Amino acid sequence: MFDNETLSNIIIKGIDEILKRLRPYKPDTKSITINYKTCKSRIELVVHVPNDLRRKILKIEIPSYQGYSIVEMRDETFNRIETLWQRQEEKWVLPASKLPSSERFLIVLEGNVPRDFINRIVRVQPAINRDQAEDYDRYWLSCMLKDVALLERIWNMLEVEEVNVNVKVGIEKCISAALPKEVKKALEATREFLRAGRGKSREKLIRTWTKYRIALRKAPSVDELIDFLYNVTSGNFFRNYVVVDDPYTLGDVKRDEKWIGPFPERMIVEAITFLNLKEPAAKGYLTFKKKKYIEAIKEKLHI
Amino acid sequence: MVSGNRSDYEVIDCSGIRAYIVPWALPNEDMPLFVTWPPSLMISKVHVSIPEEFIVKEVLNVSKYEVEENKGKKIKILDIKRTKTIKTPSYFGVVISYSKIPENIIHLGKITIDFFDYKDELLKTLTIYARVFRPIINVINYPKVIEIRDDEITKIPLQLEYLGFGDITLDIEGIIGGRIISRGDALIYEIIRRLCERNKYERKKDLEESIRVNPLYVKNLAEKVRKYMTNPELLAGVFDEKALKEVKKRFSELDRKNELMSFLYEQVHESLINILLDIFERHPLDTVELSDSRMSLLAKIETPIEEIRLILKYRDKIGNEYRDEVQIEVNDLRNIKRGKHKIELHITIEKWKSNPLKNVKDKIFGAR
Repeated sequence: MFDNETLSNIIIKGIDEILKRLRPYKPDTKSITINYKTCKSRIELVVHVPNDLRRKILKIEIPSYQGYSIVEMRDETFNRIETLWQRQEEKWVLPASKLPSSERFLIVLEGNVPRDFINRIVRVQPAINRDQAEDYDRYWLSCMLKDVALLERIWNMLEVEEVNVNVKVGIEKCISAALPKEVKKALEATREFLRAGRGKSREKLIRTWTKYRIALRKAPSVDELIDFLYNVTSGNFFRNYVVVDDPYTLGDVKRDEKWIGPFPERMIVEAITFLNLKEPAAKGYLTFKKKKYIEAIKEKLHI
Repeated sequence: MVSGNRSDYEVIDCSGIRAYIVPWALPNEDMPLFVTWPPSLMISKVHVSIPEEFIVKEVLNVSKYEVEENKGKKIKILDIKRTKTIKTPSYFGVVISYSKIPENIIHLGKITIDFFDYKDELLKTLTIYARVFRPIINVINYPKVIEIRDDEITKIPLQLEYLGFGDITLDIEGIIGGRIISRGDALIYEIIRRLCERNKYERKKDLEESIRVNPLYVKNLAEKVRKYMTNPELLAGVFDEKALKEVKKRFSELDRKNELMSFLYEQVHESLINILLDIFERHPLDTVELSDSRMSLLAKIETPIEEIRLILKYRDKIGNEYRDEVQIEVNDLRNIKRGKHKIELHITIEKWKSNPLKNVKDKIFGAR
């Protein structure tokens, strides 16, 4: 296990090494970000390559230290320059002669940051229980920096982006409220019919079968219901019923994979924010519009 | 309690100092708090005083601090981690939690934050409240006396009330003569019972064969069945000796041939209907989930019973357990001498009264 010092030194060393190699091209660091979610760090810098005779023989080199690789390059007019960089052992090499006529270039590099380090600089927590109102449920979100000095050591404008808080939003009760009594009746009729099937009374079997057929005219069968519930718990459908406050934005919405019943009891909704030295803490709320969700399920069921 | 724009969990004063703690929490839930102030303010130290029974879980962005304990805790923030950039705000965070189960629905923890300058003189004091909430279930009506007869199911109707804050799962346990009697898990008993009926069971063609069943659900079910099969206490009240022997034989046969899972998949097809019906029955209130929608107690007791205790156990989202209990006098009319030992009690919740605390974010509970 590394201590905070060592971990930050590893990251700083990686960035320093890149800047050192680019010194002849007067690198100007535009931004350094650490992505909380993907554990990637991203450096955006502008280099100056004079368009003179030297260009013909020049080779620009960047060490691939810390797994840094060039993900993007653009010229002065912001046109993307397709991959001219080649990997040669421990470095990325670009023959300057292949560059277009522009003199200033934006280079975007991406490298990895240990998760351990990220966890030491950011604290993330959602409310475990909702605050309920008539039409919606609300969850608080809290993201805080643990050490601003450590962040500043890397770069004084460093930003931690895509800080994600996963909120477990309970939906079982909504589904129970959304399904009309016809569905319940159809399920009961199915159960009775199956029970009669195990018994000996033929008369009872016919009676329950008739009830079962009638019930199915008004409500979906068990299979259809399971399929329906699976659809209304899809991330794409559910995300229409959740909103997050500024400075948060909505990220992925998916079913909680730990469900053990016929449909998920919870959805996992991701709220994303950023933290930096000016905004070391982000507070906000995630709102689940349960009334609208219930109405949408009812409408989709067409009963 | 006042509603309005002000809040008791966040304060921003005229000089730009801001203190915020999350607006609600359950007992034992982490409550993050943060304080920021403009870098122009000459603040050297900050003291955060939190009441007794709150514990300090984390201190963030602080290079030096002490915790002084004396009827509550005083976190003395002696030095925060600062940046060299002058424009960035000064900031620190603290995470606390309420370590007890409060008696009332709301427990307010008054937090005072004292700011000192470089001469150690008190510049300002701010107050915010840590607001801890809990749920309460009250039994408002229950039969004071019940009669138990041979081969009859005894019904125990209850009237319950939900108050407060937080979603719960409710479980009811019966105790007779100090012994916990098994709670009938209807689905599991049904499956075990069908172990003997397998040959008689024919699936009706009207129902389609392919139902999407989560394998995790079946796995969970298999574990439950196995637990019941290896615990004679759980089965004793339900099956007589002959049936029990048969059930056990069938179970070990299936287990030996590795056919238990496929048997369960087959069973789940029908059980799914029960599970789906459960969706309707298991949520009597928006805030309450019953651990089993058919709450029945099954036991085999060979001595006359005088009293039964019903324990209502409910758990909130973080796992805190709360309980209430009632004692019911029993008029035992079983013919025990003739070997009538079985007891089957069905607990039904006839009526629910509900008064949940809503929209706490926009409410003020603490006085300034």
